[in-house]
Amino acid sequence: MTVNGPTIAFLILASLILSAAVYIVTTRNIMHAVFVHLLALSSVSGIYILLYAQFIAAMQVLIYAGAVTTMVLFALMLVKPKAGMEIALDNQQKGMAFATAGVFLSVLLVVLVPKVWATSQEKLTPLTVAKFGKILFTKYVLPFEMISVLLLVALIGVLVLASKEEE
Amino acid sequence: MIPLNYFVIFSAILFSIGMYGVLARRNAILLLLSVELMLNAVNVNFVAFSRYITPHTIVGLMYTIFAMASGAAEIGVGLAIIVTIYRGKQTLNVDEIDMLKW
Repeated sequence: MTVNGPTIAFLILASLILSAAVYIVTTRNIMHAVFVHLLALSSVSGIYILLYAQFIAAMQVLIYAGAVTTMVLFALMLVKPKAGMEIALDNQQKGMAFATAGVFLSVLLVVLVPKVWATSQEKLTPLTVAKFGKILFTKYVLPFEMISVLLLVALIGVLVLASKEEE
Repeated sequence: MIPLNYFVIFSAILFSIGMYGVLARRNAILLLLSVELMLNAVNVNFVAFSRYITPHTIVGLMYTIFAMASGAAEIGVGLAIIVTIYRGKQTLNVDEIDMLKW
């Protein structure tokens, strides 16, 4: 095991994200879950910075930490159950769920831990946004347009769904 | 340099935690949050493999950008559906949202 700055930073970030994730799937307070979700998603952008993918890190903060969490908070405030209405957040199949996730994780770990990847030996250098934009708008311009159409359809769909009249 | 396996194992654990959340929670919004955790685990994997194995092409990063965009669309539509269901049924419990079973 190599002990250096980036590795220590990665371990700190990873333990932060994993404990936040465990909190999200176990807490009994849904508001706390959303705010801890914000913490976890912002820390994932730290992981991207460790991978020298600054543009992805910025996108992570903008889209996930900014837009998605704000939207979930808004929806939560709008549909907040009436006071005194206590609902259980877990269902009865907690044991089965834990067993399924545990088996899945152990299979993954058995396969992945001894695996040696054919990594490139070069040192990682930051990707410039200019290079990123150039490739996005030349080689990947068709998927880019399609994702724009998808977002437009989602936008219209959300408006139609959420503004439905009460019968 | 951080070994690639650290990232892979980290995202495997994060994905499994999200999977547990999806299976064990019954509040629809918490289900969405758990799905977001799984999506993030996948994205970390994409970026890590892309940066470590082919540092000069950015295919994995492109994939991450598109996954993020469709994730944003997914959570928007999901929340709109949840709000609509809550208006009609006054509940967010996915065990009680079973109108399509009949």
